[in-house]
Amino acid sequence: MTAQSPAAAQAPATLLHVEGLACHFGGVLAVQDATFDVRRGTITGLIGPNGAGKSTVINLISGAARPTRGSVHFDGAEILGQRPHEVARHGIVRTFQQANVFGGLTVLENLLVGATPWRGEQIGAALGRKRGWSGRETELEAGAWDVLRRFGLEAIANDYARALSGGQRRLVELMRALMARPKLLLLDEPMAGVSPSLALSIADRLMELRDAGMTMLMVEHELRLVERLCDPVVVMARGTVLAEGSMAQLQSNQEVVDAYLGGGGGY
Amino acid sequence: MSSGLIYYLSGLAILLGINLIAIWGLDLQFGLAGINNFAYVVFQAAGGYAAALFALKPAKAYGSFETYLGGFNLPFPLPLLGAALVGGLLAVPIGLIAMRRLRADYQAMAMLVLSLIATGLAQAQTGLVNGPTGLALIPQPLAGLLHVSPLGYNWIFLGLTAACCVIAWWVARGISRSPYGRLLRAVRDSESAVAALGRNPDALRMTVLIAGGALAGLSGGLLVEYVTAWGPASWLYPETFLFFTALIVGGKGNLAGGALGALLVPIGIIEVTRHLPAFGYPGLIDSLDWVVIGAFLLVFLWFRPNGLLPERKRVLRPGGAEPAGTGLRAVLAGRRAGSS
Amino acid sequence: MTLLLSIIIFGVYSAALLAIGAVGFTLQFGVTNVLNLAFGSILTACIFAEYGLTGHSTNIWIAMAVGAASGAVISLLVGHVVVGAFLRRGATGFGIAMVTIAISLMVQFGLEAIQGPYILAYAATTHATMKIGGVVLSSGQLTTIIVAVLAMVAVHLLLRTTKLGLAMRATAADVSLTRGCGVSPARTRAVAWLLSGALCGLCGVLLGLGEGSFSSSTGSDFFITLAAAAVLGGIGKPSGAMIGALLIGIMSQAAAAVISPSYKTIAAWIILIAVLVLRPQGILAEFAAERELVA
Repeated sequence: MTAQSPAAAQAPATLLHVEGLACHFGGVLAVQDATFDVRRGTITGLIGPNGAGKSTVINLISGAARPTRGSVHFDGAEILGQRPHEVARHGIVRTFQQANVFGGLTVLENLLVGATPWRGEQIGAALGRKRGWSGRETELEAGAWDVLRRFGLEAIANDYARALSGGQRRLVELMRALMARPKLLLLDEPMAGVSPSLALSIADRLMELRDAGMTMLMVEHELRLVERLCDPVVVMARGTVLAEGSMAQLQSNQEVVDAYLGGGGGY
Repeated sequence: MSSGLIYYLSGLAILLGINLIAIWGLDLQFGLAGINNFAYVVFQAAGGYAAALFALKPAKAYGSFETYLGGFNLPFPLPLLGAALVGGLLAVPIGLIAMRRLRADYQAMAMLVLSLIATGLAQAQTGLVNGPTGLALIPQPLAGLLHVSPLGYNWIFLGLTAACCVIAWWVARGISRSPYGRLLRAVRDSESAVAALGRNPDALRMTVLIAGGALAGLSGGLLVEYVTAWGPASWLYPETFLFFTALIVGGKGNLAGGALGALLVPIGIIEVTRHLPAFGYPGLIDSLDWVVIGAFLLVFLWFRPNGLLPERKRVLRPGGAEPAGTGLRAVLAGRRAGSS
Repeated sequence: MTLLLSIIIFGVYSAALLAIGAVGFTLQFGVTNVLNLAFGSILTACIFAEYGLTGHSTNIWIAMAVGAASGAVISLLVGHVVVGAFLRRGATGFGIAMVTIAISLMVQFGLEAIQGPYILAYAATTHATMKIGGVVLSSGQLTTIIVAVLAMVAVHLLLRTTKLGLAMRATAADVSLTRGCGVSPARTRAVAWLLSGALCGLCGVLLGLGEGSFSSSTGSDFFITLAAAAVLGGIGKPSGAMIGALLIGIMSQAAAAVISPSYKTIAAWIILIAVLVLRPQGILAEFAAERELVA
């Protein structure tokens, strides 16, 4: 198990608490009343049929969508309604359904942008002495090379991100998200469109990260991956949370089976 | 070389320098950050008017044949500093109005309309900057103090322009190779990803709009102090496309490309055609210049949209070696080594 | 009272003129998804074409025919051939905007090169006039209003009742819907360029004859006001363009009367900026989401 600092050991078990979340847009009630928790050190799954509101929940937490009602408590702070860059500053990093990399930047540059915001990024530093930022820049570069090595992708370090395949872009997006050592990682269908072998490899990485103490909330359709990675799992349907629990518990929950796991919903 | 030719060339060099500053300023906004600023000439114009209104005496002192605001009769270098300042400040209202999350071509149209509104107001409100007639007899820096020939003054002005170019080069280069510059390029590609990583894309775009605006203002101030007259006819909306064409032809996202563009487009096309034997009626060549510019733009957009000197890849080596950089030396070295 | 009547009547005249062009512009955007910034210069080219081909004729019927025909041809060349080539290559958004800018520079300054930056005028003729409650309307202005109404009806009928119109509406909404229409998307787009060009030319000659004079920059100046009408009403939807034209026509006429004549066009431009800032999808917000006007 991980060695936790005393402070972390005393931190409340619930990192993210979502309460009564609702979102109306264009006459559609995408999310009606979502309430669930994400506990520290877990990969919490978020599953459900198409249109259940899962991506909207991610968008609401990350600030990309405007909420109608509800509250999102993260690590002691209320974050609902803040803008995306403000939410990110709390230590939440998200990935997107379609791999959202910076095409005109190299893979390394992508990773460097992923680091926690720092003073050397201000325009003032750009106009001042290079010494003002080159030290930290060198550290960040070393950190980026580390991440690349861990994923075995040093070969593409200096390739433009737009020249990469879909699976490689997903990896770049993931590596970039890790650069800031986020407290919570929001993953919006990280395996979509990825080959099965690559999906398993990504799954292994995610488990390593969890074992090292990172917390994740992951939207995913592929139920075998969810079973392998996620505990607990939150099931949504028609904009509300149906149930929360381990996959085994959910599989014996009739309502969940009817809505999603049994006939009809899911793949 | 006849003294007439030397005098002409010195003037040409001054104009090259002024255009360099303007083009580097636009490169920051458009080349690095991807802002489709079709109102760019308004920033240059604002700087020009600022320099004029700071340097001129109050209208009454000239017998009120012109009407305008201000007239503070400030000595060099204050009008130029004021020009850069005003150019930068103008970025704030323009940025707040036009930098919404609009589709790229829509946003370009919004900026274009702002440019037209600015021209319209300058012409309609004669009390501001003397309406369509414009301002004349603008005092030149240090003119009264130095007693030199016109050629001598040109050399001095060229020195001043060169100094301003160095400043512009230092600003543009500093931004381009910094983490801030990297963030700008990231915003150009995906502002949602930038926000998801904790940076505010609106703030980033606003700061670069200000920086580019200040350079545009500086170039406007220099132009006005060189030409000593300034009116709406000097900054009609097509002038913005002159700068855009320079970047598309020369290459955006790098200083060398901007410099090449400055040499080929504003200086090259316009100054060279000025010396063709005059044919047709006076002014025909000016119209044809614009047709040529449009043609160049179309041809390059088709064959070489990234320009003659495209943006260079920033290659980073493990172990923290210096990045390959984007300066002229690196460009030439890269060309020789045949890197991608 | 006469002032108010005058504002309304001349507002309607302005609106009629704007509507013809705005519907052309918006229809073309709706079907081809191209923001054609060369529209104004094409408008100018049509006035020049009419002036040259008909020997400065002021016969409004000949002018309209020639204007519409030249507009259709030029627009097809510019849109389907040139812009189309870039589109087939995969150019998008801003790149296409720059292409249309390049074309507009070449056309506008090409015309200026031919003619010089001078104003061309039609021979002054006495027109029949009509008096409505103290306001005098020339026959040309009345004809413009009638032609505008007829054109709007014709466009409406085309879109609503013909197979081609259905294909155009389908292409505007979602290209994949056109598979079942029996008309190829490429042909639909070509027709859109043709039709919008004809409306552009028609608008141009009526503008030229109405003003009595024109120069190489007439179309570009008018274009922004026209675009304002299209954007205000909701770009891509012809009925939006008509509403926008009416609003802008009357508002700019009011601004000219109340503030000063030089504010007639500035008022329209300020309205355009306000719409782009506050509600880019316009009044009849048709395309906000699908075309990602607001990212």
